[in-house]
This record gives sequence, C-alpha cells and structure tokens, in this order.
Amino acid sequence: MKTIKYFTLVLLATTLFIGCDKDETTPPDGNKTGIFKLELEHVFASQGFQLNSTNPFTTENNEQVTFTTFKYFVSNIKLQSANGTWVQPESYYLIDIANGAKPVLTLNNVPENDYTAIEFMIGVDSTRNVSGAQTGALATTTGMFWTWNSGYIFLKAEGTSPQANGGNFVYHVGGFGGANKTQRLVNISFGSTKAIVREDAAPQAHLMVDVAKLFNGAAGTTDNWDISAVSEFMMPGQDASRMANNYQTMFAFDHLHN
Amino acid sequence: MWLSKSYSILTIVLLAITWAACKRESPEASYNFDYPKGFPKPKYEFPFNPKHYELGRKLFYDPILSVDNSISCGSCHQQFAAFAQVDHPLSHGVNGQFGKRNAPALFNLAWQPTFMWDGGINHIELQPLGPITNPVEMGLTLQSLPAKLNADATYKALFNDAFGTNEITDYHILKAFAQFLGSIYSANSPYDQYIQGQTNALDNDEKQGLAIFTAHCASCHKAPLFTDYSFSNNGLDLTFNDKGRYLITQNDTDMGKFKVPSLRNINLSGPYMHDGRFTTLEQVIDHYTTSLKVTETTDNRINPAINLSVLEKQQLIKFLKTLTDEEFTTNPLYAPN
Repeated sequence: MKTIKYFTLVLLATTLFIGCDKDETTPPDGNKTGIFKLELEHVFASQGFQLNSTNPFTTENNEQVTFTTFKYFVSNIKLQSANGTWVQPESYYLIDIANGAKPVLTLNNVPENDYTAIEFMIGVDSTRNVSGAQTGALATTTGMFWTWNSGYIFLKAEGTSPQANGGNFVYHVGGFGGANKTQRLVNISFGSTKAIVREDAAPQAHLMVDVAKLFNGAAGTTDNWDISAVSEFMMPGQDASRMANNYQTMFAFDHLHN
Repeated sequence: MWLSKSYSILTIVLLAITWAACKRESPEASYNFDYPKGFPKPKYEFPFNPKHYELGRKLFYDPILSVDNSISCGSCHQQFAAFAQVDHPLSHGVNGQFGKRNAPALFNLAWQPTFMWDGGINHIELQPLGPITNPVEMGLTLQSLPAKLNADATYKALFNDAFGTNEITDYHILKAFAQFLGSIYSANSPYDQYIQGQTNALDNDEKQGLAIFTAHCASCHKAPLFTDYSFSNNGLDLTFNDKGRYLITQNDTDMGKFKVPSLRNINLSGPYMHDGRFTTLEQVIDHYTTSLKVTETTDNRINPAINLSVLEKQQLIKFLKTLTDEEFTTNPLYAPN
C-alpha cells in the first residue's frame, strides 16, 4: 500500500516534470510563427496611473499633477535572441491611456524563438516623418501630428497642476531631426527568463511604465522638472529633448508569462 | 457641284461627331502631364490616376474644406494669377481673418522639397493640411476634415470610385490632392521657347535682361525652376516680426530667412515677398539695388547690393515678364472641373 502510494507520487511528479520540460525544450522551428504580447502597465511611482484621478499625483519636485491626456507612440519593435534579432515590419502603435492604463500590444507572425530582450522606439522614426500621408496608427487624425511643422507628436501629456502657469500643463514632445530630436530607444532585458514563442505558445512580457519619470531628472542628477518654470511647450526644442531624456527611463521589466 | 459640296460638309460633320464621341469616351487621352523638357527628375513621382486627379481638382475648388463653407483653396490661389492671389498682400481666411503671409503661386510643385515660406511642411502630400487646419485660413481640424467629407454623399461615392474605400480617410484626401497639385506644370513661357531654340521668342531688350539676370539673380533663382529652394534672408528688415525659417529650426542662423520663390510667372503673382510688401517688380528691383538692410543672417549672394542703370533695370523687368506662361494660366485642366 505504502509502496503503491509512493510509486503513484513518483509517477505523478515525473509526468508533471516531463510535461513542463517538453514545452521548454521543443526546439524553435524557423518556418513557424507565433504570437508575442507586450503588456504596458502604467503607474505613477507607487500608485496605479489613471487620467482625471480623484487625487492628484505628486512629482519628485513636490508638485501636484492631474492628467487629462497621456498618449505616446511605440514603434520599431525588435525582439532579440541568442541567435539573432527579429524586426517587426510596420511596427507603429499609439498608446492612449484614455483606452486604459494596461494596454497589451499583440505582435503576430513572430518567428518561433527563445527571446531574451525587447527593443523599441518611443516616437516615430525620421523616415515616416518625411514620407507624406500615412495610414493606421500614423494617420494625422489622432491628435498626434503637427501640420505647420510636419512631424508627429511623439508624446502628449496634458492636465492640471496648481503649480502650472495658468493651472494647466501642456507638453507636446516631438522633433525628429537635428540637435533636439526626441526619438528615444528603450532596451528591456527579460532577465533570467526567456519568451518562448511557438506556434502554440504566446508568451506575454509585462513591463511597468512609471509616468512619474516624466518629471524626474536623468539618473544620477537632481535636475527634476519644475512645472512652475516650464508648464508648456508645443514644438521641438530643448525642453522637449530634456523631457524625452526623462521618459526614456520610464520602462522596467516586471515579469514574463510563457 | 452643289451635291459634292453638301457631301463634303456632311463628311466633315460626321467626322466631327465621331471625334467628339471618341473624346467623350476616353477623357484620359486629353491629360498630358509629361514632365517638361529640360527639367530635372522631380522629387515626387506618382503614377497618374485620372480619378485621383479629378478628386484633387474638385477638392481644391470646393469651399467644403473651410469651417464655414466660405473659402476654397482656389479662393487664395487663382489660376489667372499663377495660383497666387491678386492684390492681397496677406492671405484672407474664414471670418474675415488675415493670415500673416502672402499666398504663394502654385506650379511645378513636384520639384519642391519643402512647402510654405518657412519650409515647415516637408512633403507635397502633407501641404494641404497647413492652410486647411490653420484657424486664420480655412479653420478645419484634422478630425473634421475627413468627417465632413464622409458626411457628403457625393464625396463618399467619388472616393469609393477612386480608391475603393467606404470610409474616406486623411490618407485618401491627401493622395488625391497630391495628384492634382503635383500635376500643375508651368514650362511654356517665351523664355522656354527661346531656350528651346526659337531665337525670336525674346527681343533684344529681353535678351539683355536675361544676361543681367544670369549675372546677378540666377544663383538663387536658378533655371529651369527659377529657384534653388534654399532659405534666404534677402535683406528686408533689421528686426524680424516674422522670424521665418527660425520658427521651424530654432537655429539662430535661420533668423529672418524665407524660401526663395520661383520667378516663373512673377509678373502675374504679385504682390511680392513673404508679407506682400512690394506691389511692383520695380519696387523689388529697387530693394536689391538700393534698400538692402544687412543683419547677421543676410545672404551674401545679394550683399553687397547690385548696381544697375535705369536701362538695365528696365531690361531685367522685361526679361522677368517673359517668364509668364499663358498656356499654364489658361489650361482648362487646372480650372474648376
């Protein structure tokens, strides 16, 4: 009786082990594709991020902010693995928190592989800023396009703050060329985990996006954003470039589901 | 005799009817938008699509593109004035508002790298969005532009026919516009005829004027397009109410610079300069000879000022008038459809 019980346990454990092991060791088939999902969970420091919050958020500079708009472009997504990088074609997404603070981007037709890191651009590459009429996320109707100085607004943050001049802050970050260009690349490693993309397996990476970083000076500096000093800009320039340096740091890897 | 004469008439009438019928059946045959002889390769090349062209032409002349349906593109860009606006120093928008700059002439746009006086618009397809969404010009928003056309049954049908789409988007609108605007050519002035070998297309004064032009003006206003598309401070002011190209680049070296305009059809497209401050070509020439205001960014291609005798000025202006292209200003394909 005891032996049978013991035997059953071993059998069960073995089955479970084999079950798990089987998924992880199926070698990738370069001719097959699967799905990769990227979840972007937006927070403000330790709090969940939302528009029109009942209580304002407090920045590092001890200023109060309530957001009415927070939108930005994610583009040019690349998935990296030990044996090469996959570049997503037509890779343009507009993240708009009006549609929820935890958007999930679904990447289809991803070649089977064990991916270790993701890279993407915050903003839109210069090529698409100089190529005329576009479609999809890059249509001019999304409120993210300047007509008088052709180009996309890469990130738009608007809201109210008692410290802002006139009570409102308006930050339209853009500019695709020259000294003040504002495209920023983000590279996020999945740490010790890998995203196992298979025809029948769709891993999902979960990143935390800390919107408070908009107002935090670059790492190692105490140069925090002073809303009372600069409460708005709506064109390319040094302020836009500085804010882009700040928000380049807002993405962090949290975990990954296979 | 009488019989043979009436047969001849009948034959002519029959031929005319046949010709008219054929013409109606294939309207495309009447489009002739080959790039002008002697011009470089254009910056924008589109496969010609007559449905896109006709839609672009209709949009250009339709006040539906202004917030109160009062103004079309054609209101400030008149064909007889080389698609500039006669007698208006500044563009005149919805609700009696004035823009801050002079509406430019429109032709040979397929060669133009940037648009507007400050070059802020970087592609021919994006150009219409500037005036359409400017609150002091046509006053629509980027969202209301397609919404307005989608609410119009005629446009719904036309876009469906041209693009096979049930929903009109900014993309379709801009493609149609670019097809029309990119097909407006001006390249058949007396000057062009002269260059192509008709030595009597210019008289002696005009030929003298051409020599003066080549010596003093052509480095900026370079043939055959009569501009090099650079941005230049041409010495109009000591301080800049309108900072021009600087507004786009925030680069100090661009302060007070504006795009060098083409001089084709210049006799038709006054008033002159970005703010329309000069009404006659004589005033323009006098500016370059006697009234230059020199600042840090003044173009060294015009500074120091040139020296011209009264006769030379007259010859130069006579030459500039040979850049007027009547075939272009009267071409029915550019008129309202």
